[in-house]
Amino acid sequence: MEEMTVEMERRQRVQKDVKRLIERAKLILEKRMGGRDKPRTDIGLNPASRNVVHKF
Amino acid sequence: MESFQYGRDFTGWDVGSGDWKCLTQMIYPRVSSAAEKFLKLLQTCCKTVVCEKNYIDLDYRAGYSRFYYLRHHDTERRCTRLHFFSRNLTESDLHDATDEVAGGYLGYSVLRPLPDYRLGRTIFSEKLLPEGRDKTKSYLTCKANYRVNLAGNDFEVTGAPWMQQDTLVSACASIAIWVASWHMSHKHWPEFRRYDTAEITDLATQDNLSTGRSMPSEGLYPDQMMLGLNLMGYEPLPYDPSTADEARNRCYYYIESGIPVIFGLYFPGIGGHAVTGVGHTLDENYSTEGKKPRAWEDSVDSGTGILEFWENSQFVPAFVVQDDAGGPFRFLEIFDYNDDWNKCFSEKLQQKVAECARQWRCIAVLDRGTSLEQICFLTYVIVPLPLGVTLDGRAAEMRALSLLQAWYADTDRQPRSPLVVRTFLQLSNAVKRSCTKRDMPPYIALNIRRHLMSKWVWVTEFADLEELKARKLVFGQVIQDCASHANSPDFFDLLLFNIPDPPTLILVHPDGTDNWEDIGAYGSYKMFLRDMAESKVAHP
Repeated sequence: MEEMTVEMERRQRVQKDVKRLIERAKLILEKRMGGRDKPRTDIGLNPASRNVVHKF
Repeated sequence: MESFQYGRDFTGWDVGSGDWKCLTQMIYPRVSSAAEKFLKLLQTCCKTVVCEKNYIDLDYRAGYSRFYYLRHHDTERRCTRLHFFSRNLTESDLHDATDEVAGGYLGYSVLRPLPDYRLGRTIFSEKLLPEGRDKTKSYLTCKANYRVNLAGNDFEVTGAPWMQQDTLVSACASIAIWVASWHMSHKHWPEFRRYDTAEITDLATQDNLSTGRSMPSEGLYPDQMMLGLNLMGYEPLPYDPSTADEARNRCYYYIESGIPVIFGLYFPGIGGHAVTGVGHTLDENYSTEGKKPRAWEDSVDSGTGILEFWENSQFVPAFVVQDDAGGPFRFLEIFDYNDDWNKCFSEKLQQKVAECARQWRCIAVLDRGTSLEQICFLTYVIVPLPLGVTLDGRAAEMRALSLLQAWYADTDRQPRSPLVVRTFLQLSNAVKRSCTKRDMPPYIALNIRRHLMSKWVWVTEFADLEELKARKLVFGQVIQDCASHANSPDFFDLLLFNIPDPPTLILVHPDGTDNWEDIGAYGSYKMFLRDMAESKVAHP
């Protein structure tokens, strides 16, 4: 019973704001990606042909 | 060998006794590892071969009208098609095939009337897919239904395409593109049209003649392959592998999504080669021995602990590839290059291996541990993505994990850990179709079915390792728009999120409004499997 009350209180503390949750996720993502000022060439995928000089 | 005749052009051969001589002579003019592998697969369960003479094959016909007709000497125009069955057949079975006969259909292969490189357009059933090394389970993820007619009998086979290059109209690169596009055009008809190998070679060299004339084909550079795919209606995504772990992870997103991946390989002392990934093996024991879970430390918030997770690709030892030179359904394993690999190459290749190792860091091993084993460098990867899929697999998974971490911080909970993460691209309608077959909480299923989503979506499923291992169950998921912007963290196009701790469903609508709903407690439900999402509407 006590556990249920704690859980209820905890759920009430959650702000239920999707936009705020997504902003928080974006901040985590941004830090994971190395920050906003990271050179763009290091983000995402590099051109496959960079090192490939042979044909198939 | 026992045989039967059905009219002038159809002959049936009983190969159940192990006598394959007639076939060997037809497909093996010279020693060929592709033909050897081809036969090896059939010998596991094929009992009858039906030979259809004077067959007009659409791919060979296209190559004939583009190139072979130029010869002054006559070139044969008609092919032979072989049909494979897992049952013993008689003449009457061809007159009016029963459902049992149709159920035993294993696919077909067209034999081109060429002096060598005879194995043309082939569809092999997934029933011919062998187990992986150490008896790991294999999955043909890039499979489609192909309709076939044999003497008026309609058959259907679920499988993947394969073909040998003919070295004139098509080199391995053209065949690798053909395998990918033939699958996509049959799986996602009418989204993608069919292209024959002659068209593919011409499209790839249309705006870039760096390899010379398009035919006789001298092979293709990766840029030409990308151009060709672009003209064929795809948005090819290139990837430059740096570590084996990363390469496995990146390729897995797409192969698991049913999108074939083209692997560029380099054999020191021989040259470049291209093969197409159409499936993978899976360690269904989810053994973590010798592996480490990924760990995301709390980078922004305090007090939420570390999010530890396994990427599903960590349990994928090999990819199933279609290799025009080495045969259908080969296994490709990726390893980090280190000096131990030098020992696998001959003494006289050492200098070339050292040159390769300066450029490429991943080793690819084909059919490891078998008589057909080959070792080479993995040089690049191309993914033929459908138009409009601007968010790549890695970016989608990173966003899903960021959301999960934000969720645990927001709700003041310790993350479930370590969890298993699986990310794949799917048509949203397929995800909706699967809902009722997964023992999903009815309220979540209802909301997935009636929620407006983009055509393609990235789905990231979260699972407890033990639940996944024992019963293939997952506990939550993030669904995202495939057309989000991968390079910009400003865009986060969430469509749906459900999680049981605490039980919550979040829906985001196209106009930016959203719902955050507390839902009843729920247990884990079945993971998404492609077979749950097949459309009942047939197409040609």
